Amino acid sequence: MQTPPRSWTGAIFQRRYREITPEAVVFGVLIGVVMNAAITYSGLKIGFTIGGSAIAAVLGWGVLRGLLRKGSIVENNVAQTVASSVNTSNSGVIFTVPVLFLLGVRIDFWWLAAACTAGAILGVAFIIPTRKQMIDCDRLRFPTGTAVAAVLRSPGEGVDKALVLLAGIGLAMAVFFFTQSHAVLGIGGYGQLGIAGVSEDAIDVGSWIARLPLVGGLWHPTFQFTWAIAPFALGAGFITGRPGLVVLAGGLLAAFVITPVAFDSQWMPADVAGGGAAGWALLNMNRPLGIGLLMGGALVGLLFAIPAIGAALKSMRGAGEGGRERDELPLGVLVVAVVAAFCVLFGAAHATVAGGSIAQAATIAAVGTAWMWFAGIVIAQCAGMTDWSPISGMALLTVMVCLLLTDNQVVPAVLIGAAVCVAITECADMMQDLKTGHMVGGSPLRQQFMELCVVWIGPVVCLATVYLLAERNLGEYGVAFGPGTDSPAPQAAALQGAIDTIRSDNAPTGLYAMGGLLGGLMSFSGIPGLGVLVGLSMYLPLRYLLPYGLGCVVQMILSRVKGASWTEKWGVPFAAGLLVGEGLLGIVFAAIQVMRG
Amino acid sequence: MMAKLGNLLLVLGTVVGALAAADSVKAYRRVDLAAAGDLSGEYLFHDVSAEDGALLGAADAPLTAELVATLVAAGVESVRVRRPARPFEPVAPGAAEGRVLFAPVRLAGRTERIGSGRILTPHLVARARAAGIDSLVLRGGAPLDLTRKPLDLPAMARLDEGIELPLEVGAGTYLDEERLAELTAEGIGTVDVKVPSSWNFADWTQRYSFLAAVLATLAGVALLRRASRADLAVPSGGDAAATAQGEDPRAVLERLVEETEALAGEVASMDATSLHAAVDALLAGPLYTLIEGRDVLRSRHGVRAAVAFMAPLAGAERQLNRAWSAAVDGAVEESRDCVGRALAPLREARAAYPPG
Repeated sequence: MQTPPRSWTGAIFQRRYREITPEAVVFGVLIGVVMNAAITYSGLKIGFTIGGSAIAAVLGWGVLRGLLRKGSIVENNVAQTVASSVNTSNSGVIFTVPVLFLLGVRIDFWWLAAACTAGAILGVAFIIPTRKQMIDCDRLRFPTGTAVAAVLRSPGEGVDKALVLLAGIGLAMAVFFFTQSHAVLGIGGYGQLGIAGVSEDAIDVGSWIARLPLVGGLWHPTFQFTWAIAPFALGAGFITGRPGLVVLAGGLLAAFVITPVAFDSQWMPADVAGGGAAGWALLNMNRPLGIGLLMGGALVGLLFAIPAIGAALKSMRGAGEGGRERDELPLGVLVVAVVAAFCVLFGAAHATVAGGSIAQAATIAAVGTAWMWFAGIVIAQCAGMTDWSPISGMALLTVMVCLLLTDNQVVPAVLIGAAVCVAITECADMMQDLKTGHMVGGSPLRQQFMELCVVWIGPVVCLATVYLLAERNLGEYGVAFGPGTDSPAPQAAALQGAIDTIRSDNAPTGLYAMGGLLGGLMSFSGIPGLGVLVGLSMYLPLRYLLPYGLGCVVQMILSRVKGASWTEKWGVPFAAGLLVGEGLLGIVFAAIQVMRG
Repeated sequence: MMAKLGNLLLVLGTVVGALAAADSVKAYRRVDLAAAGDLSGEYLFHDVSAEDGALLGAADAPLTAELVATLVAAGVESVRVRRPARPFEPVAPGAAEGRVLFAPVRLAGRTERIGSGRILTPHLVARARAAGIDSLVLRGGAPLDLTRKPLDLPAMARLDEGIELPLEVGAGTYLDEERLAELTAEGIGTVDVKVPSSWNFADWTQRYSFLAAVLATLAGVALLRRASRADLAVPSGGDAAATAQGEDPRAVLERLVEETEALAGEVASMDATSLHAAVDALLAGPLYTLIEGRDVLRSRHGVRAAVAFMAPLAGAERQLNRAWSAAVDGAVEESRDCVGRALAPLREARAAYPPG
């Protein structure tokens, strides 16, 4: 048997089995850059982003194994880790940075890039020590990571399983194609079928129920029962299984209890009609309450997880001793990365705070860094339990805290907010990739090393895309983003609304606190992540939660009827196909939009 | 029974607590007309009618002393008033520092160029109308008559040529020193700024419901934890009785270690296909059973014991997963090594499995 290398750097660059190779790194960086730019562009247009891991895994097979004829499963895992690391920062950036353009303030590109890069490094460095707790001990599901592993493992799973995976991909692509075909290609989509209640990407089942002779009379005007045509949500729900039902519970509480009761009790302004009640309740009640529940639940959950995190850290410190191969990057490397990134973040904060106040810059940089650690763990846990990441809620809270600390200075607040958002998206992505790595036998040490090496590329590419697009829009429309342009940046517009609310002293702090108390109490119940999941789902769009919940129910039924092992063996590859298929087609549509834009 | 009651209380507490919390931000507050004192500046939230149906005060009507007198005379004891009374207040620029604009302010003396290609929005149309522009030319040459009301604005309609409009300071703008100097220089007398939140504990009518909900949630949590401890305290059968499969995890662990040791002794003579099949059987067999039963270990023996066992077990699982992948890729040497490397963490896991 081969003796493990003495140094951790030696362990990274082993050559026995293709893992970190120049081909994998170059391919990962290239595909990551292309996906990042394309998804940033389409995200500013449509308001949401697409994860890149699954796409990179599929393309990795084509390039590394197909064209170059030498890729291994773990090499493809490294390529996909690199690609998703480069790509994933876009959601953190487009949720926050365009708000500066919407508010009419400018900030030097390089300070912003420095802060976001520091955030990316901090996110990766902070989340690595929790790998043992989340993946090895808690065995969180990480549906996307599981789906990507199903893709990577497909060559060894036999023809039947590969066909099931392909069937899932094919079905997802066929179903998803007609949600975008009209807008992107001009080919008739679901909206052109002329069926009442059916739009391009959703089916309003509620409008059908409302027309039924007996039941319709009982249907409340505020009820939202729209189902997104989203195979990925069905697949993610299936992979999550029974624990995912808690997510549906929060959505149902918000949509079918709080909103109708608030409407009927006239808690809303008189000019809010039944159709607009859900939107009003989301902004003023459900979202702040949900964020409070999430944060309270996460805080208590973190307290409970401290023994596990401590034990995992102890295990990391003891790694590499006794001739055993090291699993993770040494703590010393992570400490150096954290200190260096913090210094950069402080520099960026100092350059943007009015009057160059060192105290204010140090305070927001320190609070931002501490927040990255906490929020990163929360986000990674949410992604692990459900596949959803509450980035918008975290962005809002970060900006709110930074506005309070800087006397309402929006530039440093958004700068730190952007860094935090990039950090937490990297946290979730890193854990998804490490989950994939665990399932295919990839080395966490090599994955973590590569992630740390390339993580700075994503924010730079994404910010460059945002600034280029802003320049183009300024030239063509006179404004960078928002109404009047074809890049409305809806997520940033929502954050702008939140900033207005905070700066005009109208932040719903009472609801945050009450939600926090309830969420904290729920986390004492012993039901894993209860407060976090209920809170998260109170402000996620119900249209996606419904197919997600259906996926959970289908998995539970199949487990009961056919057995857990059968469901794992045949159901998970199909569900993985649904996740991957929609993601693949999503990136194709994004690329078409870029080429036309 | 205890668990069911705990779940019920938890659900009830959450639902009632969420509703009571939502009540705290409702758009009105109730005032007692006799005790409220000066109500000038308040506005009715709803129509108030007399017993015979006659309208006494319409929604949004200012609560003047005269109206209050009418309501009191008609026997109305309390009414709901808007909260906040008005979402904005007019202030002079000198007193507006740190406030947020409620409505846009047009600076008539300065203009802004709206570029060709700009997508027309209702707000932009309103600005053009306010600037006295009667028609626009859309990209493609089609004219748009702005005097028509209602205006049927085509979706994604773009300007064909740029237009000049008075500069506008948008709603939501934060009024800092620089911005205020700009407004003052333009001769702006007053601006409408947003009114800060008027949250008041006394206005939160459901505060006791919230307290009751918190207590119910607490009781539910206590019952659930007690039920969970009672379930896990069942002594007969040990860990095995508590697992879904009814297998003794210790025996499964022993079987896993023995089978892996046996495989490690045979790998030198195995090819990629047989290695793949043998590792696959280990992963899908005893290892899968052990991992599925991890919650029992955690609940019965605590977090530290679970971590001490699961961390090395997961390490071994990863080595076996790597052996599986390497066998698929034809990297037989690596696959054989990985089976060997799985042994140490497996033995560590066996040693860490709590006694009893």
